[in-house]
Amino acid sequence: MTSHRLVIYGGGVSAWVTAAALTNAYTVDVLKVVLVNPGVNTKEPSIADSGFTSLRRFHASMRISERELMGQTSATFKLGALYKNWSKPGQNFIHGFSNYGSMLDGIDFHQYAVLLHQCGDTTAFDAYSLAAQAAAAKKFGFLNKDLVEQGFNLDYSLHVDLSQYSQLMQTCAVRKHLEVICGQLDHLNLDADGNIKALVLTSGEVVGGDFFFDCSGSDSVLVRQLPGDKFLKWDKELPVNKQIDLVGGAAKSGLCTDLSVCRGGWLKSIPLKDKTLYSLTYNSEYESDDAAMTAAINFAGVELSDAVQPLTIVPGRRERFWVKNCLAIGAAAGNFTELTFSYLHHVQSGVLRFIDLYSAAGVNDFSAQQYNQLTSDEYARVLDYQQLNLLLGAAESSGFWSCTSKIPRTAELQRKLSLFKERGKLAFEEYETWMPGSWVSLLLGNNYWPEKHDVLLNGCNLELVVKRLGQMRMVNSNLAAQLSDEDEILGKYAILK
Amino acid sequence: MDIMSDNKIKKIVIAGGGTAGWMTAAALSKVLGCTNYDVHLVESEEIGTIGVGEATIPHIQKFNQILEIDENEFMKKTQATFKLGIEFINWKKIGQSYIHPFGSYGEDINAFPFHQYWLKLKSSGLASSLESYSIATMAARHKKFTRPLNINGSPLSDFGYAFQFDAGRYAQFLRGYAEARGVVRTEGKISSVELCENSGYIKSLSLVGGAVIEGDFFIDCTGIRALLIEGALKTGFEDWSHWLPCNSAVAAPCEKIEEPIPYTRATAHTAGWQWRIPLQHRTGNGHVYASQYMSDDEATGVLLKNLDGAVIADPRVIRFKTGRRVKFWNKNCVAIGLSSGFLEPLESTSIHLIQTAISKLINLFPSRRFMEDGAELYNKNTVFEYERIRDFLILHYKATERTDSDFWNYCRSMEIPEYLREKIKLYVSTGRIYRENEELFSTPSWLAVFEGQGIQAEEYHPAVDSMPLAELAERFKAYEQVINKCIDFMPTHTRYIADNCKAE
Ligand SMILES: Cc1cc2nc3c(=O)[nH]c(=O)nc-3n(C[C@H](O)[C@H](O)[C@H](O)COP(=O)(O)OP(=O)(O)OC[C@H]3O[C@@H](n4cnc5c(N)ncnc54)[C@H](O)[C@@H]3O)c2cc1C
Repeated sequence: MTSHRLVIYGGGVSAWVTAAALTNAYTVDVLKVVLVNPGVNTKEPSIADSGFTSLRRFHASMRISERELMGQTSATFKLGALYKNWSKPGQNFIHGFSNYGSMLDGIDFHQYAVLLHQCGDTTAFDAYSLAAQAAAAKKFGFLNKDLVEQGFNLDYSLHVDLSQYSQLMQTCAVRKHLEVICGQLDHLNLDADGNIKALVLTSGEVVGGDFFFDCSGSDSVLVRQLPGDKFLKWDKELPVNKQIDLVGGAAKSGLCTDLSVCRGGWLKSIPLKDKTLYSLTYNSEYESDDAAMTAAINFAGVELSDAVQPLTIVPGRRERFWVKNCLAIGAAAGNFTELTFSYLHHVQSGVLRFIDLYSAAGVNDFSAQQYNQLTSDEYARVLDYQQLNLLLGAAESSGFWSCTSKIPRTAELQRKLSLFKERGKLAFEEYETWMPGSWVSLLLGNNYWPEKHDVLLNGCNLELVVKRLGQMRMVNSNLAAQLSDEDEILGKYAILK
Repeated sequence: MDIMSDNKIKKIVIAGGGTAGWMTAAALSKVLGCTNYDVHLVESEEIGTIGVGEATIPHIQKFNQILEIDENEFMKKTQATFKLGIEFINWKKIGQSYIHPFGSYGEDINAFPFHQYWLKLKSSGLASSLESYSIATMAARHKKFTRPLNINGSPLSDFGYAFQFDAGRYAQFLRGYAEARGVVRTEGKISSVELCENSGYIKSLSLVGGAVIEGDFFIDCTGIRALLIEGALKTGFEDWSHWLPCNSAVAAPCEKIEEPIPYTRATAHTAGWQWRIPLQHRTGNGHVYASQYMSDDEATGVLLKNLDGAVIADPRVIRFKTGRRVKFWNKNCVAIGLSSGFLEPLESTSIHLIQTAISKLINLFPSRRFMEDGAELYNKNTVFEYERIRDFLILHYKATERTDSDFWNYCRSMEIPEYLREKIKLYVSTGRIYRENEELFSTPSWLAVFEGQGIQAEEYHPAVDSMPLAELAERFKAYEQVINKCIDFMPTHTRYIADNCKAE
């Protein structure tokens, strides 16, 4: 069997992560991985990432020490997202990774919460989440085995500095024999079927390969040139077109990514150890650039600087990601908005799916078809999730938020919402990025309550239910109080070079 | 020698072993302790107790807590049921009913009482009946019960409950409690009370057969007889019969014909009213009436005609006079229970008055040197308590549209105490309900009776107008829905008793 040659085009996060993942998955005698670095700024997130829990699995599969990684990427522990002032003015809700409450008598916890809510309960839903309690108290820790066996968990992810993260990925890939070529693409050499034979660089160098990765960011330099490529805009689905990114000093706590509504759109902050990324995503129809800039600067608490300009963003995706022998990864494949989003997850999930479907025998149509189908599904569900966030953002009703109820939704999201509203059940599709529990807690934490509780609860012992829910809350807050202070544990855990 | 211990009262004698006697004995044995004090109780089986007094108000929970009585245990032993309020039937007019619940109506909005908003909504025709906003009332109507639940913001966390129990068993239960803690009981009939010549203090009680019980401090729990406070000390009585003309009761328990409901019923008749107190094993009944308007025979006839089960014991007539002792604490004697005065059981307040008397006494407990130092404060506070309850009771008679008997004609047109007059006037003209100090009955209670008996506010607080009517209507609707949901999820009273406190 001849060894295959995989060529990555790009020099940003998506390229280095792809390189690291591929070199990790295949030994050099099976697959030779080459990265062509154009050395220009790639249009993709590059400052900070607010990871999902999958990030840690990715590191584990790469045998990367989390402690070292955290030291090298200015990382903080992330327990969830803090929705500040999102669905209700003045209300804070922490959407933690770990579970909310626990099943009682074989019935999902949230059904009991619904029942009590209907009886007038005003207890904040995150009182049932250990992660939320810990984050609110600026505490973090690793649960011992006993607690885990009792069903407690404190799932977490990381906030990382993306340029440092890229560095680290580069180091990993190079150690595993990645070949790096510097140069910019001049044109593609295609064969009669439309497959890429080689990248011809401006220097005249020809980089041939069996398979190509377009990691060139939202310019999608390679796939754009392939026959039948098409970009599907989400201008109605995610109606925002501008983003301002500002970097400010370290935040008070690193445990949550913060989200809040503002007139033109929403604000998000990702806290790193030494700095914070503040971004304002908005729709210029509802907010002028100047006003947005003022809002962003106030939000970040930084000085006005000419160096920062609003970026134009175009939410959307390629119709196909895998075309012929070329696969678009990251921003080259699709652009979501910076709303409950992890760019690293976006990239890693693409590469891992490729590794899953790529047959050593080479490229075949079946793999491409599968890949495109699964990824389309995945994206549709991510889109649903982002749209749901927009729908829940009811704390503001003017500006951008006056249009959010008119956003066209997929049939799946519609079904999810009506089923939940009607009966508190969550319709779960294939290839969801978020588990059912996450959807449920997002909904309930943001005051989206079902109209009816589960009929299985009829005749339950209300006194007992109240007692047990009270115990759950108490155990959570007690456990949270016993955890370490966030700074202390981060200081001990992350290994600085 | 230690001055304190020399001055200390050594022996407390409780005369009488009815509910008042044994509640006092139990509380003293728990709080003062029988190692510090000798607590004696004398009672006469021959005389017996009054045997009624079976409905309570929520404050009794506090009494149980201080005594560390396990509520379920106490309920099992006294055949008790839960009580969420009292249903008043035929008071405003024949055929009408309302419930005076233990609990509030709705929830305050922007620190203004709910009822102000309700008045506004009612005037716009958008409000439901007052009772749909009271969880205790709705639960009672649906025969449901749960103890209040610790749920933030839920009506389920915001109501009270009391008990309906067998009075005889209750005294027995407390007797066991007190004796176990060292109270010494003497069986015997008091024949005379000896006073100290100089001070006029009570020195001792002599029993038929010659025994003499001496003591430093005496508590008169001899019931209506008031042997010590009146018989011996001639303290005097203030008569309130002109405001509350009922002076008799005929009581008879009957078999239960249905599962006990979680509330007491007070049905007005032509010259008084009838109580119905459902217990686990039987139903307590009695007809309270004014003998100048109805004969004992007729009253008994009315009672028997209105029983829902077969009568178990012969109807017993009890006479009383409404009013209060001029002093409750006189010399070295405090009157607790019916010896202190009488207020008819319309709002089940007598046992509560026993309880507050005990706690006041414990707070102001004297020493030998300063025997009467606490008396003034004690008496002043007790007068206040009595009068405020009295006025609340008078309201039930005064606020009526009934014209079907001389009795009601008298009540409807009688002069009433000034405090009550002002309170009614304030409500009618402004919708405001003013609560004086620690007055037992608070805003929701007055509201329930005002509205239940046809006293209507003509205006509401102007601040209420700051909330748009539509929003107000929406909030009220949501609140009503929440209450309905809560009721759906409450177990039935029967089920709750079965799960928690079924008598063996
Ligand atoms: C018709 C009616 C209905 C009532 N309903 C309620 C109600 O629903 N809720 C409520 O809270 N209250 C109610 N009450 C009041 C309640 O019954 C009394 O407050 C309570 O029972 C306390 O009574 P007592 O202990 O003071 O008197 P009693 O029960 O009469 O006890 C007096 C005690 O003194 C003893 N005694 C008397 N004379 C002598 C003597 N010469 N020698 C020795 N011992 C003697 C007796 O043997 C007895 O032990 C009602 C009262 C009446 C009349």
